[in-house]
Amino acid sequence: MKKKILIVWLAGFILTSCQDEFLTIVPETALSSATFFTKEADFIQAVNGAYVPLRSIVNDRAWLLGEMHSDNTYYSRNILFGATEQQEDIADFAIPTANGVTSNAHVLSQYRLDYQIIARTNQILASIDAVDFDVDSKNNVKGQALFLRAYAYFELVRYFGKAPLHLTPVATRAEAALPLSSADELYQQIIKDASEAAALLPPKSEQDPGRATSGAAKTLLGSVYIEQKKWAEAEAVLLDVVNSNEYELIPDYADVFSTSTSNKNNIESVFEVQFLEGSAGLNGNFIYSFMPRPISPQELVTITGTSNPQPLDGEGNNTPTPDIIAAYEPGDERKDASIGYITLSGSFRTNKEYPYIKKFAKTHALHGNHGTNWPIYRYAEVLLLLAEALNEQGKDGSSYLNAVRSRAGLGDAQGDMREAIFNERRVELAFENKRWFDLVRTGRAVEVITAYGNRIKADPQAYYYPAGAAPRSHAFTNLDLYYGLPADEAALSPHF
Amino acid sequence: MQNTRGCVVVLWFFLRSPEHFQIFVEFRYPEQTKYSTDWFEEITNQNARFQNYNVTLSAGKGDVRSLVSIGYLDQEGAVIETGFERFNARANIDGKINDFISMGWNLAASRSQENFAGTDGRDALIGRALWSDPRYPVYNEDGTFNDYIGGTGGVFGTVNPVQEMHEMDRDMIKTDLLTNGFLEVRFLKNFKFRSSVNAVLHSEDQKEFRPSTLAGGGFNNPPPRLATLFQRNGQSLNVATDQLLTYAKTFNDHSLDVLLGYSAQEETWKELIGAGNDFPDDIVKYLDAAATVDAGSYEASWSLLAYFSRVNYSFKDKYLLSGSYRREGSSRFGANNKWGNFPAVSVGWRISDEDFMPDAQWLSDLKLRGSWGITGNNDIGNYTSLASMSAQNYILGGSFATGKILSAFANADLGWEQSKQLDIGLDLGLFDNRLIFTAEYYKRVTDDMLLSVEVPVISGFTRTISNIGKVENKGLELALDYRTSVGAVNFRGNFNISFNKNKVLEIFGESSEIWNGGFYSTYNVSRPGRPIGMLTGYRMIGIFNTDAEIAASPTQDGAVPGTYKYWDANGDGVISYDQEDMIEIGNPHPEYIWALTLGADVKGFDLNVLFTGAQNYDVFRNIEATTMNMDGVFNVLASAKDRWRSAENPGDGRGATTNTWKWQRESNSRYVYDASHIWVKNISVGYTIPKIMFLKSTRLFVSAENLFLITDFPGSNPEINRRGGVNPGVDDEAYPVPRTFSMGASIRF
Repeated sequence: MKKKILIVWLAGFILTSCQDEFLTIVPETALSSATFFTKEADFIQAVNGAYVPLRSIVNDRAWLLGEMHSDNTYYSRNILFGATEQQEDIADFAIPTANGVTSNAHVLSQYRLDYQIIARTNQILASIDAVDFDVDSKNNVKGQALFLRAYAYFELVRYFGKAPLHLTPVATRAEAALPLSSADELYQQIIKDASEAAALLPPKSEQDPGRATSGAAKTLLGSVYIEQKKWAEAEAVLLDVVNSNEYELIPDYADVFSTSTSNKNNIESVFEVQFLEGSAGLNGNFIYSFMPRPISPQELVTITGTSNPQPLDGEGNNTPTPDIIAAYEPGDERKDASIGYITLSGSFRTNKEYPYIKKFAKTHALHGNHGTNWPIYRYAEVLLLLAEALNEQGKDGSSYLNAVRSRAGLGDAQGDMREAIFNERRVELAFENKRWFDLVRTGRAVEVITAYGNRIKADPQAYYYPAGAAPRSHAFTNLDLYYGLPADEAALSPHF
Repeated sequence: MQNTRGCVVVLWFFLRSPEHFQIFVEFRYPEQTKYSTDWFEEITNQNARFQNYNVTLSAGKGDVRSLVSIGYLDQEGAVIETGFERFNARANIDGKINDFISMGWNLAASRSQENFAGTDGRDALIGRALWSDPRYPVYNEDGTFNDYIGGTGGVFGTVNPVQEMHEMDRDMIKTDLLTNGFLEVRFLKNFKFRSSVNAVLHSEDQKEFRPSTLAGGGFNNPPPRLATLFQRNGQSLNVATDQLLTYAKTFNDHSLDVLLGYSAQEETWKELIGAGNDFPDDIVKYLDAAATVDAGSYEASWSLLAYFSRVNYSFKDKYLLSGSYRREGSSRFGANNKWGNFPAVSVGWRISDEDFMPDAQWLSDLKLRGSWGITGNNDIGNYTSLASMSAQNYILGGSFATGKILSAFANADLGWEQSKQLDIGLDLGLFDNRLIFTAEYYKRVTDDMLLSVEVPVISGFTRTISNIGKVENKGLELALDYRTSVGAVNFRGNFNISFNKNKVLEIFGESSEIWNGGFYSTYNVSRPGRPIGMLTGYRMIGIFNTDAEIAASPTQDGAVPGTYKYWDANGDGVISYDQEDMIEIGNPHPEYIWALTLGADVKGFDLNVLFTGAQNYDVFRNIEATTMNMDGVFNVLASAKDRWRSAENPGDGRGATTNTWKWQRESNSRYVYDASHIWVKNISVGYTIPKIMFLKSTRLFVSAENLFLITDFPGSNPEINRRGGVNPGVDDEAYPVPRTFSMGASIRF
């Protein structure tokens, strides 16, 4: 303290250069960009940080916008619970949207999470070439950053149809608002990034489990080509994945999904979002969001197996619809592996039995804290995408389709191949947030959702409404193929 | 304090007009509800004690003087189980060593302990007490706490606010040690050098323990839960020194003083934080007992350096002239803009001393003065100009992997906020200064205003601090002071009033407006030409009575009879569900504020009354989106009884119907109230006992603070400012303003 007083006392007497020193204080307990981005370890940490928004995307949002916004799942209406409009609006195709803008909080959150990935990867890509370190390691980091940026833009273009295209870090407030780019412009960049990533990244066998790989980048690229109906390009890149011999189908469908502590990044997994059970704050809790409610501790523990089950109140989400349940062919082993049933004593329905998503619901130690990973791309999807790319070119892709079917205990596909692949995707990838995107890209969204809405209105009780309750008057009035851009971001931008 | 509370509960029914049998049995016969708990009443301490003692001993005449004082304060809070206790002591000594050198030293220490509660905002204690379900009792029949309020059939279940106050430990201990000393040397007759050091050591020790018996903080987290503990220990050291050289000389009618000096200051804050959860019992409340512990430490500093000079000159005390210049550097700003220059000049003219003025008895003083100067503001927090990195960890290979992200812009150009202010004033003293009138006009233009603004998420974050714009404040302040005696009675009166007009002149950057807030609360919008932070939303022009009325009005998608009808501000035939039809719905800046003090004394008795007031400004009662929420999950205001029920029974035209939320909770003018008020802030009566025996004088007094409030504003505090700073006028309910009665004695020996 004595020394400090002396320094402060003298500060005024000293020369200008020392004045600047006296007034230059950098944080000692946090890094600043002035000292960061200077060595290999910094870039590895930075790319680790760029994966983080994916956790919140799959834990909290993607299932609302990609699965419950389709005919696969619905909410289980709890009549005594009011503050659930925003998620009901998504499931009911009734999101208030004006001038291409919506105030729905989940839409805002999804948008922000994707741009967080983009901002973080832009930072890495802008500064990595100026720093000299091991070329393999550098390529690996660049490849991951490009993959993540491509994935984030791929989400944005499919949710919104247009978005600002930022490829360099934003350094000032003035640079932060760019005009909207069209879907074509966004796709061009996504294809460029994903292709570069595929070339830079190592195969899965040479990569840390959990990081993006060349196989993941090629699967993403294949998925983008299929979205764009570029069938031949899709075929080439997906065949690469198949021929890499890095992946296999796991014989039993029920074993494909990670448990809370093991079976992660397995032989069928192409890319998945990582969670870790425990107190480090890296856990997920999505299976709790998927539980019908109100559920008592005694009922919940039969699914979660925790030592401290707590009751869940409110309104349950992502409850499988009668439609998806009916979509499984007789004998399909995936049905029982994907969907379970639970009877809720506190339910207001006459029939107190509810289906729930079983394929992710693995037991864990403590309430609300599980480490189950979330699949983004699985090898089964690679095979189905390849089958589709071949079939759309008039080639025979049935062997890839039938490989997936045979694993599920089913015989070869019959009838129209396009229909067969479309239906196969629905049941194989059920609850993996693929359904809404599939409906849109195949041009079936309006037709399928209109019929689905009519079924709900005709028999609400079959869709988990209690006796006497009916869908809200504005349900199924907004069948737009894209979500409105978020209002809070629109308020900050002169461009939308 | 809360005059519109009530115990009406409307249930969230899935049918707009349920048949009797469709209502839950539990809620079917409201007249049979057993309890009607007034939670606000339960959490407030209607008779909070307050004690304050001070003893001062001063000694010394002539060259050395000293003083020692100690004080003790013990105050119960307006909320149960809260309170504040402080012990403080002070000692100082100063004196002359010889005719040229004098010095002094001062030491002050205090220690306080506060039992606090998180009270402000809808989800904090006060808000919860307002909306908690009144049909549940505080205690079970066996006398234990009813530990879960609501929760029946899935209605929002919450913690019992009374139990939370009783069972949660929340302490903050603050210790302050303040010391300063000076050395003053006089030389060459007119010169004086003064050097001083000031050091402040401040420490905070915070502890919060939430036992397992309490329900969770949000909704639907019934007990028992895992107990949690949060502990924080922080310490700051602030050292400042001033070196001042002054020259003062008076010759003939001229008087001159010149000052040169510099000042340097540095503060360092260190903190250690620990959080634990999963305790085996609720008895051992230390981190050691926790199954999982998370710890962190933190350090931050800032520094400030200033050089200044000042010249004062006066002639015959009639013409006064002063000029000053200050150059100041702050560590908080960007490398390019650390330094700011702050000049100021002022002139004064005592007209009453001029020869041409009549030497009238009644005119005691007349003075005209003017000044112009620049001041700076660096109140932005530390390291704001740097792009800092923060941790965002991931899992790779099944285990923890450190991740880092950029958490702020680097802004090397971030610099001082500068205010240029012009003042013109008039002082008039009449009748031997018994009547004093002061008028002052000012105009202040604040340039490079420092504000935290929202930025598009592509920057990687959603807010940043920057030099954002230019704002003008101008106004007039008038004050009148009068004292007179009628016989043995002395009267005093003082009235002051100030009018301020505030206008945004310019907003820098891409967008010309700054929006803060949200669609379902309200927006504070700043745009050039208008006052800063104007309340913005839809203008509510009525309630829809029929479907035909809805059909005939501009489109409000999804509106049903009983919801609000909004004004189509842009005239496009559609009330769009975004900001397009939102307009200014309130001005949060008072047109004028005033204060009036009246006093009288006679024969040892004295009486003082203080009134304050503010006129013509608006507050957005955000809390009413909850306390007028017709979902049936919250307690609601009594006026909910007068809500819209049908076209035949439309109610008071302010409460919307049940079972819908759209076209109700958006930011709209229905929630805006005029907060004009008059407050009787203080009344005190005292009596001074003449000298008896060894007691020199003794004054006994009683006083009342915040005695009553005259206003139409329905909230408990019309001066509330939830968002603070430049986003004023939002009320989410906060710690109640207590009405305090005190009595005391001041005794001199």
